[in-house]
Amino acid sequence: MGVDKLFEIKSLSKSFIKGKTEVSIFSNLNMDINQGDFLAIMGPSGSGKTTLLNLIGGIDKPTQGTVLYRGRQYHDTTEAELSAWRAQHVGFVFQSFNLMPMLSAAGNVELPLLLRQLTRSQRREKVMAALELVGLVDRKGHKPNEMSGGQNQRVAVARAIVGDPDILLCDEPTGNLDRETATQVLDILRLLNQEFKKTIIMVTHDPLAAQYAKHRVELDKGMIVNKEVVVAKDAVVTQEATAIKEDTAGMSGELVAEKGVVT
Amino acid sequence: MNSFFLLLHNIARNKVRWFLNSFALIVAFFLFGFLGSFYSAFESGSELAANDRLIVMNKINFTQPLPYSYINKVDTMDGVKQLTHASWFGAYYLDPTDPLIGYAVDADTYLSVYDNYVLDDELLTNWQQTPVGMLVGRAMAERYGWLIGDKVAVSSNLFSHKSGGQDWEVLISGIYDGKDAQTDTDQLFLHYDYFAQTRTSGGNTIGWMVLNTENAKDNDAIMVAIDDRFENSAAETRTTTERQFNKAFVEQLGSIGLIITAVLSAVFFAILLVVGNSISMTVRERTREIGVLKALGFSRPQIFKLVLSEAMFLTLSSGTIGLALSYFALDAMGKIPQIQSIVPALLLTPSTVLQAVVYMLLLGGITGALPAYRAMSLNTVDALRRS
Amino acid sequence: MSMFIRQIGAITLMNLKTIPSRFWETLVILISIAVVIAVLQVFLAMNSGFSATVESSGSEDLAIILRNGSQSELNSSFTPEVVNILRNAPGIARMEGLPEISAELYVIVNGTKRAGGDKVNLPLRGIDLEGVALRDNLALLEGRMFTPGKNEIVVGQAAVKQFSGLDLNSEIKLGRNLWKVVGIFGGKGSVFDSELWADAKTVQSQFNRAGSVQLLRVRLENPGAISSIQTFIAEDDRLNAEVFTEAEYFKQQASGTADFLFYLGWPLAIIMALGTLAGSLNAMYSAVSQRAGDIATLRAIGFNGWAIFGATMLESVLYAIVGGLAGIVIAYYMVDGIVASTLGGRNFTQIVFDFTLSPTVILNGVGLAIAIGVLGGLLPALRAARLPITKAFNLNL
Repeated sequence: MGVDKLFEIKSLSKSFIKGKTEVSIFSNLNMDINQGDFLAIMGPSGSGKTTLLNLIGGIDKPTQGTVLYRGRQYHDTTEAELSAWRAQHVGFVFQSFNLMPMLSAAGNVELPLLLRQLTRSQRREKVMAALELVGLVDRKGHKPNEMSGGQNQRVAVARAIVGDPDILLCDEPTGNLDRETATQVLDILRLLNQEFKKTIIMVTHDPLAAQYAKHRVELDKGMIVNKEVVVAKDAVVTQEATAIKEDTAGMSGELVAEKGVVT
Repeated sequence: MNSFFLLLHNIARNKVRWFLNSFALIVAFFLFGFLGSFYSAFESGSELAANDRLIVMNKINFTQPLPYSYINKVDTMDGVKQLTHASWFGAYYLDPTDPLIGYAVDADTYLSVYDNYVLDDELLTNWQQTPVGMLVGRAMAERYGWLIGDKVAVSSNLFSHKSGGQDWEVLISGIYDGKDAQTDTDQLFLHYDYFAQTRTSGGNTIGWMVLNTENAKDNDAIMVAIDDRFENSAAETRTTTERQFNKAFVEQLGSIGLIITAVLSAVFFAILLVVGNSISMTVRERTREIGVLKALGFSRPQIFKLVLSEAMFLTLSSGTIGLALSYFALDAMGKIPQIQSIVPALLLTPSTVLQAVVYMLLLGGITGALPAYRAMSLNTVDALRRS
Repeated sequence: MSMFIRQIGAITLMNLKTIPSRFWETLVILISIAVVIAVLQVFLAMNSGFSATVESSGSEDLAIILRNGSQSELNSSFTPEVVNILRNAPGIARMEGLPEISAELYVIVNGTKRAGGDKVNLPLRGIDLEGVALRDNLALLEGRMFTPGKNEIVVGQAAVKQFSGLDLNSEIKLGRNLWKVVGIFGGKGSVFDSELWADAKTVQSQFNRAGSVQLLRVRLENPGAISSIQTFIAEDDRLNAEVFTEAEYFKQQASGTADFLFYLGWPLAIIMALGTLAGSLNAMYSAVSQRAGDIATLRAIGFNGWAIFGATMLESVLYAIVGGLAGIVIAYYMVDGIVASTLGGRNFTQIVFDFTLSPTVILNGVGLAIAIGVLGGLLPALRAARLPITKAFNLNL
């Protein structure tokens, strides 16, 4: 194969009970996500994008079907083990930043490190490295309300990567930002994907953000309606990419990774 | 849809908070009903004492006796209508650590001075004509299962019987009821003659005298006249109204009234804070909704009324429940003999209920007014914008 | 484990940093808990001060002999013949061949409280100099001892402070005659500090007691000797008496009033605490819902749900402890050391005591505060721990 499948999503269904009716978000969804990918999940509101991200991040449980991480089922474990798994492997970036208002930038970035066996100075070192990566070392003592939205989101990105996870899950990371600051944040995400080999899964309906991804999946009414490989804007990417094979059954989509080169 | 419907809707929305606020208020008014009634029962001895009843006792202290001869000397004084006397018996029944209220009295006159003890004439005559007869109150008779005609031995922790020991054989010949619920029926009465003839000490003395005057206006003059009559004699007297005497006795315990008032104030203060804070939190959370109501055309007074009536409804409903609970608690406690002996006739009094209602209205007003004012003054545009 | 504690610590610290934004709500919790604890402290301080006074009065070396069933010094009485028989009871310590025995009278006289001027019952003890000598922890602080045969009294130091007209060298009318205060004595915080003492023979004649006394106090040969006195009494038909060690006697005397204060104070405080609990729960629920987003974010990052639970509990308990300590401090400044008097024991006389915030009283207060904190935090903390993590994604909605 050559390409490591990071996540394998198999006949995944998610529904919830609203009042007396069962509302299905999606059913029988199939999709693989490869290590090193930068995937944009797109689609209109209510298409199930965020739910899919939650399922991948292990903060929601599937109604049916499985999600495998490196070939291993991880939704069946206890809350505590899932928490520990997230702490080890996943970094989150949210639309509204979700920074702790009472903590400084450095304090926010340090949070995930509190879940590791590290000394105070080790934590400090990693926090400074993460802040340096997002270019905010000089703002380390500032509280969220003393910084701009773009700066806040960069702090959130620093917090997501400080623990060196393999995966970054981003939920509308540019949704609350203007174009200029959005570009800054997206540049950092690209850097993380290319230089630091982070797998990034990003839910967005910002076309600009989608341009930064290597692949796009469009969800509508719980179905994958369109998949495409992105030729990254103003960047030359030479690497493994993913080809898409449409499942003609129509009801369910299947994203199968195949080796290919995109220039 | 009227305001009341909106009010119920608001209650239903945050049931937990409503329940908690209601609970705090129930606690406050339970304590109010309970302690208030406890206090008034405590004081009721003095409040019930007829205003014109005077009590004559030894000036040294009420535990010191008076000579028997004083009875006639006072009875014949001007303005004295009826006179009787009593002596503390120091009673207990079987268990010396459980003292009872018991007196040796003059059976012929005692109940005409104390007209709040109800007993039919036949039984009264029966008791009066039985030298070893004992009159007991309903509560005490029920506690010990005593029936008329029973022969029992009551003991004294103060006197010894001539034939040895502390026991007096008596025949239960009357059981009295109280004219009202606050009359103490947890007492027993022996004949003075039987008691005085059989005790080893005390001789020809009585404990104190109680008298009614012809005219309450003359009370002050009669009190002075009695005490003057015995000045510089072997036993000087102090005459007071019975009310004063009882009050002074209760006050020896310390300032019961002060303690109860302080505790109630502390409770109300704490609950006021808790509920007031909670209601203002509710208003804050509903900012947006109040904005919508205003946009829909609700007037400022209507908004004010809406929030205030919610606070009022909360305090009145919870307060009523609290008072009802205190009624049952008092009823249950009033049946415990040990409690009865300290505070006879424990019950929720109308005056306590009335006070409680006033406090409910005040509490509802205070805790509701500020948030209501804030809601009323909200700027509609700001309220809608805030999420 | 240490990681778990570190999580709790970090979250608690964050929670506490939000206090400025919830200043009034937090203050309300603190004040309401402080009020509850203060009320409890006042009652327990009364209980503890009263018990300390009465129970410290009794000695294990002395015994009190009372007439059977009398239950108190006031009600008891013995004829001179009975006293003479009892003098020869075995088990009574002897000095130079004479039994160490004190025949005493206990008379109630009227007094007036300095504060408020309420008329109260004061105990006047008729005693002879041998009786004074029996009490080891007694010392004359000012003036001199009364002279037998004269209308002179010595007064306990607590009585002088609490009741008017008892100052040194003043004269007071007790019974039908004037008595001169010639000395003030200290009884190391015992009930004797509340008493007035005079010569037994003088009291007998002035209060028409014709040779009779009310009780006997004797020194025991050894602590076990009380049973020989009991046997002696049981075997003699002329004797109708019971005997207690002084310590046992005072313990009985204290129990009524002390229990009353204890059983009044605790239920009151618990009922009030329930009211306060509603407030704590309310505020903690509101804090949790206000922080729902933060909590979800922390959970998404990988913080443990139980760490959130622990931190919320800790926060609630911390508020309760701070509130409780404030209540204790308030109670301390209000009542600690304040001298009060009440009708005590079965003698119907005043006992003067200090409100004492003893360590036990304070511990009880802290304990109740912690209980309020734990109960008030439990449900909100559970809700916090179970908040859906997906909430983190919907902050804008």
